[in-house]
Amino acid sequence: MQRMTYLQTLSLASVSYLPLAYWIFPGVAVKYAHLDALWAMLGVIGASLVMAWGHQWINNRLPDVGGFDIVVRVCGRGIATMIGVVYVPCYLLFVALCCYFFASMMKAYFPATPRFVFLMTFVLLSWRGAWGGIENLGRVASIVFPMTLVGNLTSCIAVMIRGEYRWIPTQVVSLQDTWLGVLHLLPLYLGFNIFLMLNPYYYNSRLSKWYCYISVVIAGVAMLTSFFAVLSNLGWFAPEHLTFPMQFTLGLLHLRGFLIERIGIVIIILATAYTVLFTSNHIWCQATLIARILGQPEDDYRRFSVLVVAIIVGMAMAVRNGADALWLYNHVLVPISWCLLLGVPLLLVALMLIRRIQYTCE
Amino acid sequence: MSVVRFRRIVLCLLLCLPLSGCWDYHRVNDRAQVTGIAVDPDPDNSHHVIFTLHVPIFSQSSNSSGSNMSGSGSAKHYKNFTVSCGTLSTALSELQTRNSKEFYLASLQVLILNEHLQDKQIERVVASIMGNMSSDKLAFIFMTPETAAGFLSGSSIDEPVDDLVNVFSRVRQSGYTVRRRTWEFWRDTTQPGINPTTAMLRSSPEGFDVGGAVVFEGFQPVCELPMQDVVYYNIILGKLKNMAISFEYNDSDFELLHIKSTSKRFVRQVHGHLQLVLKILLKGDLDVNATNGEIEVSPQDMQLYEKAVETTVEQHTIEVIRACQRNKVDPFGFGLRDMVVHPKDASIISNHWSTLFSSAQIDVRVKAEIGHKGALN
Repeated sequence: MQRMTYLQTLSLASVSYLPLAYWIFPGVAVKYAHLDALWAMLGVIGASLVMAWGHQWINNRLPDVGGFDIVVRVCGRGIATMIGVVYVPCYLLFVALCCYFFASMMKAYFPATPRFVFLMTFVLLSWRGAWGGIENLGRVASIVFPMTLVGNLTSCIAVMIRGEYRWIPTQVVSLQDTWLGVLHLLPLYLGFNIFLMLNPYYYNSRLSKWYCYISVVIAGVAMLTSFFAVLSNLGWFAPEHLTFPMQFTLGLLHLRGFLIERIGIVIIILATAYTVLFTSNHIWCQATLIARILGQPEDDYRRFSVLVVAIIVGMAMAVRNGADALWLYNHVLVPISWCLLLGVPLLLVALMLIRRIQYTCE
Repeated sequence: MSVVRFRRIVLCLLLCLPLSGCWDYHRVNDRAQVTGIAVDPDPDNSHHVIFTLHVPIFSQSSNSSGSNMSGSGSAKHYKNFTVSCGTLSTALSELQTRNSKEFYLASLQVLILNEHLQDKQIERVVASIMGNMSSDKLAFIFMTPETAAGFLSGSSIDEPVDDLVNVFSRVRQSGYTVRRRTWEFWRDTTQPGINPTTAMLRSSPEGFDVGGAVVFEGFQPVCELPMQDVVYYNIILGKLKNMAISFEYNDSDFELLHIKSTSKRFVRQVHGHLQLVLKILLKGDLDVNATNGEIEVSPQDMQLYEKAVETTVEQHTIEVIRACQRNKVDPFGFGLRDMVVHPKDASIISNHWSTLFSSAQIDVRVKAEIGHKGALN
């Protein structure tokens, strides 16, 4: 097994979450938290730090195994299989919904092209990526992630500077609204569990203890920058009325007579690369998980990736329209995200402490 | 060459196919780039409005009978398409029967609305531009008391849309007008505590005049700010740039150049009364002093000039705010700012801001700084 470097691990894990709600999260925050949207954003970043702590703690405790095998060590094979069987469809729905949102966004730019074509193109491309294995994905991620991050931050800062509104609320109006905002924003971090799968693939050094924290801090900075870019231009009320507020705000850049006049194309290329890599990671992740649930070695994931790809495309095609997608987001993925990102890891931590499970050199 | 390398090259070549845009590939010459839309009320049907779509024709050779020719050289041809319809999308569909090229809104630059349109009609037009994924929401928006379509076909104007856009994009001074884009106008209609504004467009012997502004309540035009008031409106918002203004001083006057304003505005409670607080910083250069350069300007004179500027700006600013208070409209966004900074007052501001604003006290503080004393003494 080839081990990944710190940049590869961080990049690979960091491109595995955020795309689900990135294009809509300012609207979600303002819709549920109203003028407390900023507090809700800070709240969800706080929740992400707790989530990072849980994942990091588990990884440090059992550095030799990943994903399914951690649950087997903690709960035994029977319960682990049961958790895995429930876990896989939830995650496939999450990946399918990400693909749907991305295909919908692309369709806005290319209205005559069927959504199926977008879906098939980048799911097949992602499958090809996943086929190459996690080490290859790590190498690609170490190129795509820094480029996307820099591109995203630069664009958002440029849009923010042009914005009219610099005002920030200084009071919390309603804790209930803030909580509702946090509740509906956590699905942004769906996919973070890939850290558990990556555990045996990265060097366990002193720095590796901080990977999860570094990743969520980078994500937090990117999210806050994007959020301020939206607020400084659209204010606190308009994002709620837009389907994709992030896409709209980035569209305001509209550089003319500049070297990168085709900024829209650059954004599309970077967003496509990011989403393809994201889908590749999760195809690999789900295929490996299924292989382990069925008692097969991790290297056997390629056989199961066919099934994973077929289910993702099927689920994404079954979403009829944007209203369906938002319903699934609010009523299925929101509770799932709390369960998978905070509930299960913290339960594992508690069980590991009670049963005193830890790594032993054999 | 190995088989693997050959396969990779073939795969890369195959990937080039979707780069052309798949089903959405259109040659630029096959598209009718709509650069301007004018909307007028339909006197025969209150449910319809008259859409006029302005399409430049870039080809030198095309010279159809319906086109309006103006000027000389290339890119001087255009066609205007007119139809009476309920919405912009249906208008585009109906007009497509008269044009061999597909209408394309991604190059939209101006939207001109007739002042006599109903608020629901204005809302429908703006919503259809905001809702259309391919339309350019950065188009400048204008309101006119005249026929809107007239500004897209005036014979005295070379390329009407380019001329209108250049007023905002190329001319550095725009103190007498409001530079408002369609998305900004739409955004302000969604926000409590601020009233949306647009530039006023009128015809003039030279072609057009964009001086003045219209203030809205939602999508309903409520009042007009004349050109002189718009200067102070821009000063209040801190958006004045590169202006020249004349100020009275001891029965004579002096002129400031390159005036630039910045401002801070907020709301506070004073003895139970709401007070609109405005702090303005005005910077400019002296062009011609009150003696036309005959007597040298001393530092004391400069201070007196600054004092005169502060008094005049303060006086006019209060007048403009009072005019808005009389009409119960807040185009400055005092309410919005107060709502965001003190969100606990949000429900009061959402429901009663126009009343609160109209009875609020005004506290304006102006500081003027004259940088250079000019070339004459």
